[in-house]
Amino acid sequence: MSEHQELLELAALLPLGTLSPEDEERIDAHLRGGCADCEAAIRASAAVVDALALTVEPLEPAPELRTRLLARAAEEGASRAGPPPAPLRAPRARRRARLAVAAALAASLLAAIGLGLEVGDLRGALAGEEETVARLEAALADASAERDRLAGRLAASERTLGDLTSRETRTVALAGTEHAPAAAARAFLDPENRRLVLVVYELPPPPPGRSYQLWVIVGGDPVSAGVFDVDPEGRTRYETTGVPAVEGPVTIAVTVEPAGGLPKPSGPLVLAGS
Amino acid sequence: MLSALEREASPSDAVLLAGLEAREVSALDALYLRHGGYALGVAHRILRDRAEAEEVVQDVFLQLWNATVRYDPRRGRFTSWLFVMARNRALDRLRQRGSRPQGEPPTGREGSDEPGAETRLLEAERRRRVIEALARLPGSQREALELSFYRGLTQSEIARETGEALGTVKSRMSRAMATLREALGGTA
Repeated sequence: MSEHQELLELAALLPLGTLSPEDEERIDAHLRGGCADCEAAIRASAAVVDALALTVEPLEPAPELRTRLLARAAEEGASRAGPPPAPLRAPRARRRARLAVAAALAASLLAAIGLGLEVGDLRGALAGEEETVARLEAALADASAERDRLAGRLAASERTLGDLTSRETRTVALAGTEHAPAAAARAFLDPENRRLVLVVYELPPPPPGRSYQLWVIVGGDPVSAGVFDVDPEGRTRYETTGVPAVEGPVTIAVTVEPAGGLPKPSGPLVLAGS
Repeated sequence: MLSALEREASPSDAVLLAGLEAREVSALDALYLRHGGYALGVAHRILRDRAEAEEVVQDVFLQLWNATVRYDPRRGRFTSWLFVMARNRALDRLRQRGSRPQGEPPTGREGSDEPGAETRLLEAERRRRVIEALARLPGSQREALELSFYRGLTQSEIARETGEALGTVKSRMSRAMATLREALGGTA
């Protein structure tokens, strides 16, 4: 068996807590160097030991055990709430007794307050944990919503991409006229879904109070395909449905029209292509 | 005994263990209330003596308090670590007493004197699954694992006890652990 194979088997037995001290030291030394395989073996075995540990049923301890344990712990040093030392050298016996009773009362009172304070601290810690959980849950909800939103967008993009790359889709390149010489555009016509996607480049924003209107012209008859805007760089991707199902020759054009558009083109032509 | 609901609403073991580091008696108290009964069950199985078992529990919790021992979360849940601690302390006492370790594996018939709350039923169900998985192991593998887990014997001690070669004991235990890992995948 290889050295590492042997270490791996030792690692798998480590959580049982019965390795010889030498074996335990060997595996500890090995783990200090870092070993993902052995760490994984320990985790897997720890889960088995967790299950084996379940086979023991708890017993109800005597209440005195708790008192004894806490008293011993307090004796051996707590962070606070240690009872003050009782006055041992009072002048007279009766006075001493009275003082001792008073001191004992004070001590238990202080201890009670101390415990109360610590319980308070723990509650505070718990509240802090709960707050963290609530924050994480809110963040998770946000992330889920964002994921759903992105999934929706991705699905829409994929649909568009699918439509645009289908065999039936027709592409029309549009060139800028003298009113927008730098402009260009590409139109994708998806006859099956009667959908049109127009991608526009370098078309300056329309004059105030005006819109760009898209036309599908079949047999000399222009049909409006809606109005669109461009961003400050003169770009846009405009998508519309319900365009005429075109089989023969088609012309796509863009004109400048009053805001909102008109039933028939009236303004200057800025982009056109067949 | 806390119900599962109360357990969820109270600070995690990790928070309480951090409280121990800060020497807060209330953290020790809460840990003890949560797990003291379990440690007592472990020690009592080995010692069969209530008073001695309670001393073991006190020793273990005081050792935790004094940080002479430390829980290592990489080695399993806090209860598993507590099991090993209580078992080993109980075995030490048994050796001092000069008796032979008991630490019999559970039969699954040990009745609980707690009322049958839902958590108890769930725990009993999980316990039953583990005991069944143990029972399905080949006899020699089960024996080696039980000697190790319940009686705290090292591999050499098991080899002596069973008269087998050390290598045989090692491979039996490895196979037993691997089988249980498979069988208890859902439970563990």
